[in-house]
Amino acid sequence: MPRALRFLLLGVLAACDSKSAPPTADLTADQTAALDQARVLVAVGAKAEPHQALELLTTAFGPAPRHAEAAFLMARAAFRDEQRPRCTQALDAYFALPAADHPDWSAEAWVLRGWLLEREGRFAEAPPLYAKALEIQPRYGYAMFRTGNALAEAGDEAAALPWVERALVERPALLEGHFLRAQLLRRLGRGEEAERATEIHRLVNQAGDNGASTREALQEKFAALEQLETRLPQWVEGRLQLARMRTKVGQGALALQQLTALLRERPVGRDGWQLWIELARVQIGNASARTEFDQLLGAAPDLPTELRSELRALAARGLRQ
Amino acid sequence: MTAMAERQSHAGSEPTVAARTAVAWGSIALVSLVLLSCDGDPSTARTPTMNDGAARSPCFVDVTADLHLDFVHENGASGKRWFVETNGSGATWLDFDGDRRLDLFLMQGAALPGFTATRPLHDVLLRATAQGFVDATPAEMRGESAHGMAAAHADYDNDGDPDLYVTNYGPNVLWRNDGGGRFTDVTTAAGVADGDRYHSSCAWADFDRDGDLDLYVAGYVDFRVGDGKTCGEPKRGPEFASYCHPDMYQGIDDTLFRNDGNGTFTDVSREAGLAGARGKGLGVAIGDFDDDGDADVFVANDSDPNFLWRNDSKDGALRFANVAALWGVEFNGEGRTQSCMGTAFGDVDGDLDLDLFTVNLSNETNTLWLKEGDHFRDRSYASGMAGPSMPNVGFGTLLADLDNDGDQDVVVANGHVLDNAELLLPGITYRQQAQLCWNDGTARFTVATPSDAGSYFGERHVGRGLAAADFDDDGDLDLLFTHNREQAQLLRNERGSSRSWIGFELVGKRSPSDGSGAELLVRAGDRTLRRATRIGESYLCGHDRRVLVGLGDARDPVDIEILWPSGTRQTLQQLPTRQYHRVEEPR
Repeated sequence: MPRALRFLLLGVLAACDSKSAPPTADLTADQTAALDQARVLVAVGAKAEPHQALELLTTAFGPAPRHAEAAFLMARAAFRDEQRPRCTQALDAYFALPAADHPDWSAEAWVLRGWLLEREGRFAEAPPLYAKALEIQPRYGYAMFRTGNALAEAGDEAAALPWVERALVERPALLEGHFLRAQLLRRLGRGEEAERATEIHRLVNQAGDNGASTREALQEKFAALEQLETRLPQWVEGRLQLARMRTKVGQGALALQQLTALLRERPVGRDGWQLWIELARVQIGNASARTEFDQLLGAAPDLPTELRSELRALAARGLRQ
Repeated sequence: MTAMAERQSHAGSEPTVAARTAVAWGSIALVSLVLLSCDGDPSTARTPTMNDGAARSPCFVDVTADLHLDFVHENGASGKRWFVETNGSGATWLDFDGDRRLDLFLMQGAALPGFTATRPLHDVLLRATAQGFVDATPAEMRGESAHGMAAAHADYDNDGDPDLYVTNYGPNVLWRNDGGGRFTDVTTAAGVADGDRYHSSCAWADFDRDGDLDLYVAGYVDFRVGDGKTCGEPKRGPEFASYCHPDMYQGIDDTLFRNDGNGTFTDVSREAGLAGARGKGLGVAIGDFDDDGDADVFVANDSDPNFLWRNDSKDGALRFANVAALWGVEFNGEGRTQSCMGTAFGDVDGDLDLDLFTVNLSNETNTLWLKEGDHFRDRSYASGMAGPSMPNVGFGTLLADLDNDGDQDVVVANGHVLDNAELLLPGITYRQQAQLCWNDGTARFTVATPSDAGSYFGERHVGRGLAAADFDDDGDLDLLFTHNREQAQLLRNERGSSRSWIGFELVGKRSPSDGSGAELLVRAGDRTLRRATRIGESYLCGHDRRVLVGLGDARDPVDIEILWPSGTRQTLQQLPTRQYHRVEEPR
């Protein structure tokens, strides 16, 4: 059901989704199966069911797993299921393990620790825990946002604002970040900036409405993405969404033009190049597209060599004679 | 200094409250004051012991059968899953025959295409008697077969008896109470049908402060039966089809009707600034959140940003501005749109300003916003309201002092929107338990167990409406729950009156005759409490218009100040507790 799932789709812990599981040789078959299911159930996506994940993991590993990934996933599931004592217990278990050195998990675990304190109203105690997360992952946008939130709740709004703005550099479409920024600006007496921030929050909210399905709602989403293209140009994913929507409504030429501009501005990102190749093939034909591709790639000398090679391969496949 | 007293001393620094309180205790107006039926002698209290013991009996007892409350809601469902089937219908308490007993009016659904009714489906008026409820539905109402949504009573013509406005999936109806149990459909003459639209909650309030009640009607979505939309996963089989999400529909405008004082109303939505603000309104709460003396409106929208309409009316010209973003209630504290259903204003932290509550979809928190100066802050997590609400879909709700300990507790009627939720949403059920959450006085809540709250709270229902009244006049609030396609249930409060209380029936003279919109400050011992007549709030329902104030252990006479919608301030001193007082507004 889209309404129920949207909450989960918009989950904020996505920064550190687990990628590489530790060896599972010492696990029983039930534990391995529980871990496999739990990874899906606590991921940010359509199949997220934290409550189910929590029960599965508890059954397989007990309330305080002696397995790092199980403990981490349990903490995440318990947090999302608003089961604070169980989250605390799982975090304690995680940090007690000598193998708890997976940087993504550990950073998120520190954020969960701090966030638990916030939910208990202990705002002033949370920022040092977020600092630990940032020591591990210096560009962890959500830890920055939570720092700003905790400072704001503790009454230090002037100190909070830079943290929120740093978070928005890392995660330009962080909805709660835009919301808090608007509120902080308002409380700091910066009314005009607050109005602009409120408008951006509203646009990001409209643009992120995954349940939008009426013609009017889709039009609103499209209009929001169009406005954000200039007001929030650093949100690359939004610009890609806009290009896809433009293509669907017969504005392929404009989509290609804007996408080309995007790749000139921000050439990093495989998705953007892939979409550009698809659009260019249709809009200007393979031969012209290949020429333009080479020019675009040439204008991005700082691209990592590995990505550059991958893109060349993509173009070779996508723009065949 | 107790935590409560400390908070109140802080609250005293807030200019508007402080100013109001200073005026309140500075002078005394002469008023007519009539004692109503009551058990005025504390020594005759039914349960003289405090109710903190571990072995205390349940707070609420189901008296549905005992009082012959025989009403089964029918939503007209035939398996086609028309969207309108799932949202239920409301009810309202009113003394329509003036016998000083609160009667009940319950909204009924209707036969939809594919459904064959086996009994007449119409709204029902139940007269309260000493033996229980008896059907007193007038013939005119029996012929009304629209799919009913909300009921709201008010004395719109100021003739001393409550009239009824009902909203429908389709045109609405205004029933004028002509006395003697007769009602006349005056919708057309009054001009309040509001078109063939999908309406939800509504509320009466004297927005322009001219002494009569205006009417706010929330519009929901542009759904039409037979629109051909199918949702869920019907390819897996018909049992996997589901009601569509409101995002599948477009929101529609709300409507504001100005009472012209001559039996007619004028749609002033456009002039007032409401037109074009299409939301998906389900809940409406009225309260003076900015303490400027007039009635403001909060609209809980379903998966759309909420509205907070600040009343900026001047010189009789109705004018509203949506300040939801400015005050921080357009979205929840994470900046997200929620699927809001029922809503209520109330002072839950005892700081003498209005806080705000909405109840929402599963996997969303119910959201409690505490007013902190010039904005609201989402305190759902810190208050303990968030976690227990996550599996539930809340509809009706109430902020009310159910144990009369002097703070506002919370009740929520729960029930999912998908009648096959078990099939589609693991861990989620269609029928859900209602929740009673006790306030510890600092806006921290604990969900009561069924053994504490009452067995009803351990049952699973498709909860929708929730209407409160002290129907047995014993000094505590009783609860009526309406359910989708189920029997409505009435719970009698067996605990509240063991503590001290005071009640008021307010009679407006320059304000609307039924006192709608009046606010009270009650000083009991070292505490000051802010309470108001209940208008709007909850979901599709209307409540006992009297104001009942729990006083905890304060049994000495209390002082009060009333702020009437007309602007009149009235102070009364040394009013005895444990009784209702009829208070007339000075002319």
